Amino acid sequence: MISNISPGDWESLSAYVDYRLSESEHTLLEGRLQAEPELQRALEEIRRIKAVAWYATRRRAPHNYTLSPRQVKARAASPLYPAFRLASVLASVLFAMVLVGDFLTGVTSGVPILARMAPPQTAEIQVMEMAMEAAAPAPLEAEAEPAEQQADALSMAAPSPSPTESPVEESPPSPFLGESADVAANQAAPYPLPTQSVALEAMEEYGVGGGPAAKAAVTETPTPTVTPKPTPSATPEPVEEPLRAAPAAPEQQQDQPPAQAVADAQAEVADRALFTIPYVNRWVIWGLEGLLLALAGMALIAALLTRRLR
Amino acid sequence: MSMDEAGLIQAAQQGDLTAFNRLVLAYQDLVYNQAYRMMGETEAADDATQDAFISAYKHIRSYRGGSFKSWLLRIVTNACYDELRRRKRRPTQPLEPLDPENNEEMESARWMVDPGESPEEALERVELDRALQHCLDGLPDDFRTIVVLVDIQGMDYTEAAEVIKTPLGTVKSRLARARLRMRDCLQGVWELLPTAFRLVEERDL
Repeated sequence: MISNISPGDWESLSAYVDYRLSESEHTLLEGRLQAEPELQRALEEIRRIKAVAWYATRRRAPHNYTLSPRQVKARAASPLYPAFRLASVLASVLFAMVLVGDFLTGVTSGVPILARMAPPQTAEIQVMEMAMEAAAPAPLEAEAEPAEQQADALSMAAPSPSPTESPVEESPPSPFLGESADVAANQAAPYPLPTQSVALEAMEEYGVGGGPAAKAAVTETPTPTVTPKPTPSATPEPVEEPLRAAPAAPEQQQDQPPAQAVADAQAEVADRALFTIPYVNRWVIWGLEGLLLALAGMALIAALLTRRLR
Repeated sequence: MSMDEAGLIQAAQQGDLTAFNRLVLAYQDLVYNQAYRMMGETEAADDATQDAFISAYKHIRSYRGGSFKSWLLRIVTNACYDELRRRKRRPTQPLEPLDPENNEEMESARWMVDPGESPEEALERVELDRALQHCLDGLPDDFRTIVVLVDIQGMDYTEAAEVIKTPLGTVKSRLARARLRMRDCLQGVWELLPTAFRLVEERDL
């Protein structure tokens, strides 16, 4: 039969058995024990529990647990473990960073990912250069056929608004490159010589960038597609010097097909994107790779050393 | 703490392995019993005891006086807690030892028999031991620890509080609740106790 007393009484009895009650509590509880059989039964239950625990088998250790010098020596080398673990963790983190860096820059893979990711600035440069390419041979050749070929190539390469016709015509520009190229082809001969400033005006008119990088690309890149032949309506002041500095360029440009020129321009844009931004990070990546290699070597030595110690 | 023990501890703190091993021999039964009652298995208790002594040697410089017995029991109790937590994450089925006669698992606990006892006494002790361990295994870890420390290892409340780093009042209330659970679990095994431990009611009858 199980006694049924309150948790407080049970706790008092538990402490009473272990002589953990104060003098007054002890006296009070003993008085109650004389008067309450239920409380006495609960006390006996607690005593039985203690008896079972006390009577249970005391086990002897199955063998001696003395430590050998070998165990102690192996343990003595353990303070090196945290350093090696840290080296492994750092190597892993740096490896991940290098992978991410490679992905973002495309340096080690050889793929100009940044150039292909086509930031707006690069697209603007391409459009601007294409506009200049499309307009430049027109007064020299005075033939519609090369202009048509160029327009076709441009329409395949960059389907973006072309500013070629805006400097000469007052009519609103067409947003379609093929259409502007047709216009350029049909009216190529009588047009004035386009310059880089004309292209910049076209860009501003179309609202395609006009950022500092794009303008710098235009002004810094001499276009050998024009001759020093004076024209009535063009504004040759900003480009006069660069044009005179490259007198042999017009012949070369005349020999090249327009599509090839556009491809060259695109390659130049891609190279510029590849060899400006990533080169800044390349040293950082090389540094990380060197650190990664050092940490990996340290982890390898740690693994070999640990194996030997154990 | 005896002067001999204090000297051994001091020597062990200075790296004397022989001195530490003398301490190990003095306390290994106590530590092993604590581990066995906490874990309920001989193999796990063996591992926990070994780990506890290795850890004790490793950290003996951090011992700052007080009861060396409590310090050792705290280490082995923590080792058992770690193992029990690991088992709760990856539960396994423990294996009973193989019977040398038929090479099958021994379902009864007769492999624990002390050869110095009579067969009847040995059987009763084994059954009581099994019942006790069964009830201990059913307790929460904190309750089991306090029952083992106080009722099996015979520590007082202050020592137990020092081992488990718990206030004295918590030890008192936790032990009372643990005993209440043990009472419910141990119903039916009282008759296995020797006559000296029988119930008052039975003696009155």
